[in-house]
Amino acid sequence: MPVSARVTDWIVLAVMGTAVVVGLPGDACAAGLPATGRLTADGVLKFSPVFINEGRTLVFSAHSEPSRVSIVEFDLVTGKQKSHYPPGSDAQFDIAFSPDRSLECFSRSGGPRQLSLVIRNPKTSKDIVFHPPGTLRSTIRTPRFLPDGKRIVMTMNSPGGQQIVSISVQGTDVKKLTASNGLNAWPAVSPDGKTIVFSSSRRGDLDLWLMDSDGNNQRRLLASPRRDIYPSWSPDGSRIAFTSSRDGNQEVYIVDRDGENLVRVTRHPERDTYPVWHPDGKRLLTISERRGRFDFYLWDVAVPRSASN
Amino acid sequence: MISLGSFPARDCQGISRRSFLKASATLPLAAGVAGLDPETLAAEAPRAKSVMLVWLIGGPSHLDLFDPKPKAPDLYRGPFAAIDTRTPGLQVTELLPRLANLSDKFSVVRTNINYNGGHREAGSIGMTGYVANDGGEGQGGSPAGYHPHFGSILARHRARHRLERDSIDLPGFVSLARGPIGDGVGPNFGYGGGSWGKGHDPFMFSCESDGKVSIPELNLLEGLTKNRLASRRDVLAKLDVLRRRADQRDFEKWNAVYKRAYNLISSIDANTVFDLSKEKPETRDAYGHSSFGQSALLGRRMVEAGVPFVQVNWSRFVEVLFPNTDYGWDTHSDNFGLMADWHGPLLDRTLSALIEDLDQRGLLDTTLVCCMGEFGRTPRINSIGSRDHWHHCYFSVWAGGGIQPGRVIGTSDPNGEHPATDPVTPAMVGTTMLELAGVTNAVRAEFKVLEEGGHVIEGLV
Repeated sequence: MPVSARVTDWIVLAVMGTAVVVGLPGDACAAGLPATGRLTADGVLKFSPVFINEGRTLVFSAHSEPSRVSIVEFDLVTGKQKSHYPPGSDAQFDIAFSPDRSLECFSRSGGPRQLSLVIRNPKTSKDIVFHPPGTLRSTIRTPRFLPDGKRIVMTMNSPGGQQIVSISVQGTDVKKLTASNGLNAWPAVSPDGKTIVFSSSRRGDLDLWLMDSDGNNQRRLLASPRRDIYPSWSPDGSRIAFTSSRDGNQEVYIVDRDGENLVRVTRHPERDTYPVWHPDGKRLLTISERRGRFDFYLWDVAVPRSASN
Repeated sequence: MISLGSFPARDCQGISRRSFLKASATLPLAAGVAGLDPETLAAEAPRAKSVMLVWLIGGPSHLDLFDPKPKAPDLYRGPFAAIDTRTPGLQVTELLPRLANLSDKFSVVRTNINYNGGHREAGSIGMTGYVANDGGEGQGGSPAGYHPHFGSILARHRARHRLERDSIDLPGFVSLARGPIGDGVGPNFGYGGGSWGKGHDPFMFSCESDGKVSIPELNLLEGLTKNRLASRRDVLAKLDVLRRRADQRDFEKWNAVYKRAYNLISSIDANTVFDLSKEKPETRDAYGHSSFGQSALLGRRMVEAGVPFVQVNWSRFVEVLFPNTDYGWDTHSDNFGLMADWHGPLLDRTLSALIEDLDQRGLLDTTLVCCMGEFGRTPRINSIGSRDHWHHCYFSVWAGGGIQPGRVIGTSDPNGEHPATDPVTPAMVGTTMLELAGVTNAVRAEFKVLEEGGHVIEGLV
C-alpha cells in the first residue's frame, strides 16, 4: 500500500480556514438543508458526530454541562438542539445507530463503572449493558453497528493496550479482531460491511490500518510520523476522511481506500477534527476549533484542486 | 462579572442546618483581606512579585506530555510521537505543539517525586511540601495536621511586607475552582492554612467557560446577584431572613466572612478584575473558552492587580468521567483517547497562551508560573490499556519570576519510572517558589515552614 501519497488541496471554499457559506445543489437548499459553512456558534466542546435522517439531523456528544458529557440531537433544518436521552447523572457519548434505527449504542460512565457499552432499544428504552468481566474500570469507545445490524465493532481494553472487537447486539459473543501491541482504536465500518478502517500504534505512532470485518488481512493504509485518527468512510465506500497532525497541527484529510490521492481538506492553525461524511457524499462535516471555540463546519469536497500541496 | 448564585436549600423551610454549617466551615478567609497583621513594611522587590500555580489535579501522564520515551518498550511508550522543541535536549509529545514552539520561555523538571500515591494525600503534600503530622486524609487527619500551603505562606509574608504593587483590595492567596479541590470523597486537606488555621485559607473564586465569576462558598442567598449587591438594604434584608433561620453563633461566623466578601465584591478596583469582558476578544480566545482557559486569564488579571499567589486549578475534582465531576486528569480509563481529544490540546493552548500573554505584557519577568499535578501516571500501561497513579517520577513546568528558561532539569530513567538524577521533592518545589517570591530562608525559619529538606531546585534559578 502506498504510504506517502501526494497531498493535494481540495476546493473547500475556505478563506484562512474559515468556511464560507456557498450555494448548494438546488435540491439540498430547497429542502432547507444547510449550505457549507459553520453550523453552530455555541462553541461547546463536542465530539463523535453522526448523521441520521438522511443528513437532516446530527447526533453528537458534548460537554454541555460542566460535570457531564451527554448526547445531543441537532436538527439541521430548524437549527434546534435537544438532549437525545433524558437528563441523568451518567456520562454518555459515542452514539451509533443501527441501519434500521431499531437499536442505538453508546459508551457510558456511571457510578463506579467506567466506560461500559450500552445497547438500547429506543422504543422500549430497554438496555443491554456490556462490561468486560473482572474490573470496574474498562475502556469501551466508539461502538459502530455493522450494516447487517447484528453485530457491533468497538474499541475495548486489553492488557497493555486496546483492541478492536466485535460483539453481538445481544451483548454476547465477543470476538477479538486485532491482537497487536499498542493501541487499536476508532474503528469505522465500510458501507458494504466488508472492511474496517482503524488507527493502530502497533508500529510506534498512530497510523491508519485496514482489515476485513472478520479481522483478517490487516494492512497499513497510511503512515506518517504523527497521529492519523478518527477515520470515516465516504457513503460510497471509495474514500476515507480522517484527522492527522502530520503538518504539526490537527487537520482533516481524505484518501482513497487504496491509499492513493491523499488530499488535505482544512488549513488552519487551530484544530480540525472528527470528520464525518454527509450522506450526499459531497460534503464533509468537521468539528473545528476557531478562536478557542468548537463548532460544526460543513465543507464542500466535491471538486479536487489539482495543485499540489 | 461576579455574582452570588443560589443556595441549594433542601426544603421550603429555608436553609438546612447541615448545609449552613458546611458552608460556614469552608468559607475562605483571605489573609490579605483579613488584615492579620496590618503593619506594612518596605521590602526589597523579589524576582517573583506573584506566583501562579497551575494545578493539574488528578495526575497528568508525564510520558504522554513532557517526558516522552519513544524508545521504551510498547508496554510503556504510548502512541504519541515525540517532537522537538526550541530547547536542545527537550522533546515533548505531539500533543503539545504550541508549547514546543515556546520552550525557550520555560524550563521543565522531569524528576519530581511525591511520598504518596493517593490523590488527596499527594495533592496536600504537593501543595504544602510535607506529609501531615496527624496521619493525613487516609487516616482521619484534618487540615490542621498539614503544613500551610505555599500560597498561605506567601500571603502571610506579604501581609506584613507588602510590595508597593500588592493589592489592598484583593486577597493575598486566591484559588480558582468550582469549589474546594479534591476527589469524590472529599477535599484536599492541604488546600490552605493548615496548622495556621482557616484564617490563612485561600479566597476561592470559580470561573466558567463563559467568563462568569462567582464565589462558590457564598452561594447562600437566594436570588442575590451582583446588581442587587449594589443595594445594601437588599443584602441586609436577606441576611435578616437568614438570621431567623439559623442559630446566632453560626450566623455571626458566616456574617463576618460575608462582610469581608461584600467589601471585596463592592470594591470598584477588585470588581474590575473579575470582569473578563474588559479583555480584548482575541485575548479571551487565545486562552480557549473552557473553564480552565478563562480561569487562567482571570488568574493573570489577578496577578496584574497585585495578588501575590494565584492557584489556577484545572478542575475541582480529580476524576475525569465519574458522574458529577469535572474532567480532571485521573485517566485510569481511556488515557490515550482523552489525552488526544481533550487534556493534551487544552493544556497546550491555555498554558502557552498564559506564558505568552504574561510575556507580552512584561509581566513574565516578575511572575513565577509553575504548572504541575500531584503526581504522574504509570509508565507501564495498565491492564485496561490506560495509566494509573505514579508518584515516583513526574514533571513540572516553570516559567518567569527568576526562572532560567530553556532548561531541562533532571533525567528520568529509560522508562520514566524513577529519577536517574537527583529527585525534586515537594518541599523543594515550595522553597523555590517562595524564595523567588521573597520569602527568604530567615522568614521561613521565623514561620517555621519548609525548613527540613527545603532548598531551591538546582539549575532552575
